Amino acid sequence: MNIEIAAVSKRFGSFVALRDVSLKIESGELLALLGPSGSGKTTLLRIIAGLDFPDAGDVQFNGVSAANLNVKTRHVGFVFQHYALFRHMTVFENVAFGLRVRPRKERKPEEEIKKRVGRLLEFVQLSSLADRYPDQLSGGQRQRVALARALAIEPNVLLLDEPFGALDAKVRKSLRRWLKALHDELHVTTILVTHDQEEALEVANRVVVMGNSRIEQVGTPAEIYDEPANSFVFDFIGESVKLPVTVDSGTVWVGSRPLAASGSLPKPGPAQLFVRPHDLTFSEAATAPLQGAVRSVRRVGAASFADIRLDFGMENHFVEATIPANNPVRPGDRVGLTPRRFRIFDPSTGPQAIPSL
Amino acid sequence: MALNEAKISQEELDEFDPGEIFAPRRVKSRVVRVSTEPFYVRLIIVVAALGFLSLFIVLPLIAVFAQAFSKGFSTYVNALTDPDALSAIRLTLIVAFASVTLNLFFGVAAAWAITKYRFPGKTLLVTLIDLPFSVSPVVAGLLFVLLFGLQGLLGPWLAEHNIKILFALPAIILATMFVTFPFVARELIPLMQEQGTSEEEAAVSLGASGWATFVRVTLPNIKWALLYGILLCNARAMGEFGAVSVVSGHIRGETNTMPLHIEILYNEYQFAAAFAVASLLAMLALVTLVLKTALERKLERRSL
Repeated sequence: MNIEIAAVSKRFGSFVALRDVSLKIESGELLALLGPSGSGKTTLLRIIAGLDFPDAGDVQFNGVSAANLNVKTRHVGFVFQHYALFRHMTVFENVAFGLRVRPRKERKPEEEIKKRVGRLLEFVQLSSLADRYPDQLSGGQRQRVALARALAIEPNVLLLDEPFGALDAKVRKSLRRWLKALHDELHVTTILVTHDQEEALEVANRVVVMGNSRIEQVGTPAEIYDEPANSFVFDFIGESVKLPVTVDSGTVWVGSRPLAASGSLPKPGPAQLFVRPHDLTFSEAATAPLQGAVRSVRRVGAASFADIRLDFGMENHFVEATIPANNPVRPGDRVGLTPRRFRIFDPSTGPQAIPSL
Repeated sequence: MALNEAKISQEELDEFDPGEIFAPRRVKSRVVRVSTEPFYVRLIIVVAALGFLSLFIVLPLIAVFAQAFSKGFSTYVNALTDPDALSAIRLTLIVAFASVTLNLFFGVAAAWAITKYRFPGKTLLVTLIDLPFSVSPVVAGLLFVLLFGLQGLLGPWLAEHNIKILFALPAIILATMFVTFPFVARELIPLMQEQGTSEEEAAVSLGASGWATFVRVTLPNIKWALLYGILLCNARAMGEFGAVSVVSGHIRGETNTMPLHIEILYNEYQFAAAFAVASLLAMLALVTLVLKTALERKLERRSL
């Protein structure tokens, strides 16, 4: 089922949760809504589900407005952040709930419900725990019960609100892969809300970056990471170093040194240089656009990192750069750094950028 | 899974499957003596507490039963089977049943509204629920006299239409309801607040109707707290004196509840009979206490 969100706005009291948000979700895709807390991503998900209603704008399912449908009639599978399993029911009864509460004439016979729930539990690898209660399960198991329960009603769309947020790193990782495999098998349109960029970039076909109650960028994980549309996305996704620069008659100045750049530059004046730490190469201190002193050197596993304090007058700008194996540095060394790929954003107009070198 | 007695990390706790190991996995807390008072101080405190308890609660309880049986068993039975006594017991049961049932309904509705919805006047409602606790029952009774009495607000109209509320069953039920209103709501609100709305949202998203959600999801989650509230509500309803005394009119065999009947007997120097009826109320208190303890255990286990 494809979903279209058209100019949706929502406020809670004086807090604006969504500001004129439009988005098209294709049938069968796995989309991630990614953003910091308070960016409106959960509100958008709840509006799609029919748990909240927009103040303005419309949500359309397959081209038909869902304004008159509530959560009961929208037929969505919603997985809650803290699972919201029915604590007084066994795993089996939890999964069977959606089948049992159907109106009498639509309800399947008990035999069939049993068979179906059994299949679902097998699918989420929990057959052996059918008689357990939720408080006897681990977090990862509860999450899978919640998924099976949502899938039981054969939803038009699967909505997941921070599904792995409460789990520890290891379980999260394996559940992520499992979810992706599940989606590949079922092809049900799936929308996932997360604040974890790694999760969004790994699992989703398309990522919607949200910030300040708006959509900042929509793209494939690679596009989001490699071509951030604006400073918000660059800042939010991955590691980044933000440095003040000056644009003047076709040249970018980092302090008093020029930085070779191509493409269209923002208008002359102060601007911001964004660069990923791994896009910095060590080079000659005398000529490099950036230079600084090595403060400390750390080794994490196979890689070594140097904390470098850049020369920027009174301001402190620290960069963590990967030390190449053939060029060891020691604390106190003066080094030069050349950004291989970077972006320059005009702080006043926002998403103006020049392509990297 | 490695078992480290001293410290279990959050990761381990998250991954911990209680089904795997039922052996105690709880972190052994080092025993720290909080009380540093010398032995005699602790002794004095314990003796004072126990002494006070036996002097003011246990002793009177024994006295009630001793007095009730002071004139022999047959007097005891006679006092309880006296037509006026039987009528008082019947009235008390009717009033308790009616007010508990109605308060059950209103209490659940109030708790539901307060915990599941946002609406203007919510804070006011929360404050008003506690009002009966802070108002003297006699004042509560007078309130109904002012409302339904002949000189009252609605009195003349009621008299015209020949509807009898004051000095009759309706007023007794109303007064009892007023006094016992907070018990059910008070028990439910904190629990329902803690449980939040996500289980209900999940139920509705799975296609359940509002009623099905309430019966299949909400009710099972609150049933022990609900029973606890009903129990306390019932105990108070049966024992209520002040408010009922003002509105009942003390008509023997008609509008006397057990507490009122006891007072009348006592004022007529029929001590043995008074205490015999009182012993029934005392037994109700004991039963309530036992059930309350059992329910508290259930509630505690739920919240673990």
